[in-house]
Amino acid sequence: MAILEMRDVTLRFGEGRSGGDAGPATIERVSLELGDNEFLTVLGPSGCGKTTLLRIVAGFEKATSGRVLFDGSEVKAPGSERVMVFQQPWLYPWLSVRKNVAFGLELQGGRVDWKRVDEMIDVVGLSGFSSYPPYRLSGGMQQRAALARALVMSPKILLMDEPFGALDAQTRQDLQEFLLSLWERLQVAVMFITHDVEEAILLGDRMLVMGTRPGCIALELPIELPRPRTEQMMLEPAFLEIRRQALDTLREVALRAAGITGTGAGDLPGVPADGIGGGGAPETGQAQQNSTGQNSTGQNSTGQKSTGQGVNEDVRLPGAAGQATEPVAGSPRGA
Amino acid sequence: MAVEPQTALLEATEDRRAAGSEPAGAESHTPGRESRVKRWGRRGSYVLVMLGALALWELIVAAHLFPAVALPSPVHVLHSFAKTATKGYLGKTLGQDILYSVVRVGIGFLGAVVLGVPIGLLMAESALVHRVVDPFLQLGRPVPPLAYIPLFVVWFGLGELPKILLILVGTIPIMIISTIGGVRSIPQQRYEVARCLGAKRRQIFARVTLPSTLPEIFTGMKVGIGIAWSTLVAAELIAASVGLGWLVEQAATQLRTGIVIAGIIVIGILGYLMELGIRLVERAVIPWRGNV
Ligand SMILES: Nc1ncnc2c1ncn2[C@@H]1O[C@H](COP(=O)(O)OP(=O)(O)O)[C@@H](O)[C@H]1O
Ligand SMILES: [Mg+2]
Repeated sequence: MAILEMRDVTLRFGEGRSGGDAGPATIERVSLELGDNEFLTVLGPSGCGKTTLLRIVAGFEKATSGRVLFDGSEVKAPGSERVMVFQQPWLYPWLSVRKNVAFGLELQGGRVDWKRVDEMIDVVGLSGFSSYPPYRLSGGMQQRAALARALVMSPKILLMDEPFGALDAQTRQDLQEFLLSLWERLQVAVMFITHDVEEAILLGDRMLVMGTRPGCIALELPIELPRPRTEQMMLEPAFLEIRRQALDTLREVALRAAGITGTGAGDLPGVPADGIGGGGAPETGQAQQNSTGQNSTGQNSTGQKSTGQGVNEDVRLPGAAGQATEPVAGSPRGA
Repeated sequence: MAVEPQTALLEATEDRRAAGSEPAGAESHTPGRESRVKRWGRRGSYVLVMLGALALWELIVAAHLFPAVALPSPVHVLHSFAKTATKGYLGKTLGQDILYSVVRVGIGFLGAVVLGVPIGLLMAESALVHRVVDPFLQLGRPVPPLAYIPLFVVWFGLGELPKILLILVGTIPIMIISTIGGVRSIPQQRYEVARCLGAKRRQIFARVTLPSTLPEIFTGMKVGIGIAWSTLVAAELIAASVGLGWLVEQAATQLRTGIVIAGIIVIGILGYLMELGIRLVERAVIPWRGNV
């Protein structure tokens, strides 16, 4: 059964308020479904509207038209059954790690189930750091705490906006494995935004590739790789084929965007709906040769991407990486 | 936000930048604090500079560049200090002057904090309140507090009330403006995290807005305590019969330059100590400052 259903969702910024003039659509006619416990990855070039799409689901932005149904009812406002995880951890520096994780539970009033909080801290491998202020933790550990803060709410869906984009390669890989092991254990759907093709394939059950200006779904691909996923799979033909199709679509999307702004390729149709299901179209072979091609690998994002900027696992947890792949004892969901 | 050329405000800007750009980069050291060795090194250099200045002062006096009445020697100033402290001057001991001035500054300054912070919060949270209060703030801010003295004397007489109110009026704008600036500089994501987790408006105010604003409030207090002192001394120059400002003014009219300089130094030290006190409280209340 679908937990999330988007039907013909369009969003124009600037509309909605009286007298506001509507700009061009940021998101145009996006329809998608997300099953219970499904892991959906969304890939797209920087600025195509990935974050906006996620924010619509979270309830931070209101669709100009179309319907967003979550668990059968219309999304109107943010709520703890749809928790967002940002690129930065955004922990509150005045609260300890434990208090940060308990933040959402404390908002509910009544007694906080501290056992559950501590279990969740244990699950993300931070039990030795409960009383630490978050800024004493490394970037990867902070993101784990942010994940615990989200998961402790028992959300039905995790909305993750390039959550590992600011981490160095090793930490990112650890956290990817860790996230998968968590997801396999918990009953939660994930909508995971990334501009990293490998990450999108390695994590997802299904992948959407977005087109840009306006943001739309250019390609939908099932990822039929067995789980648990491993780094080695990145060399398998199935992986490479999915990767090729995704990259082809991204190139096509970039060409289209270039066409709209009038730098050659003007003959390409500006209607992105053409791209749906059209991954691996024959003409993309030539597109690869095009000068725009090298800019469209999906990893060419702007300043947002800051890999390898020396964010190290400073206070490294003994065996943190190993724990990520091993089963974690005790269900944090607690019955 | 005010663009005062104060180091405290510059510090705040740096804090905010750190908050915005790379919270994930925070590591196990605390960049907001210098090491013990470095701190003592800095203090040592302060002492050395002061000793050097004293030596230079003594040299200038010894060279008779100025008449003694204009520039008495450090030793003479120390004498004046001791005499004022023990025997008093014009019937008031230095201790009384200090007590009166400190109490006036203390009450006026705390009043400005206690009133200014809520006003700033209200203005930041409500467009209506902002629209009503901001014109007065903008009009009042460029007026030097001294200009209010005649009016305050007419309204409140020559007692303690006009002096304390003057300090309050002089200090409250920086408190309001710092608080508003603090609220305005809160990264949007701090709110969004809370809303995602189910926070209601009032909860967000208490659990996100208030703590997030504390660093800028303390910055405002550190700037404000200086303003409070200068306002006080100005007030005491005009209408007082005790207090450090009064002491300096009276001694000057009688050409007791030693007492004037001693009084100025005492004012400087007291202002510095009060700022130090605020810094200590700040460190206890927001140890996370600069570590966002
Ligand atoms: N609140 C907003 N008001 C106006 N335009 C916005 C707003 N948020 C995002 N946009 C615009 O929408 C487009 C998509 O942004 P975003 O969803 O952040 O892209 P992505 O996450 O894929 O990089 C961008 O052109 C951005 O400038
Ligand atoms: Mg984004």
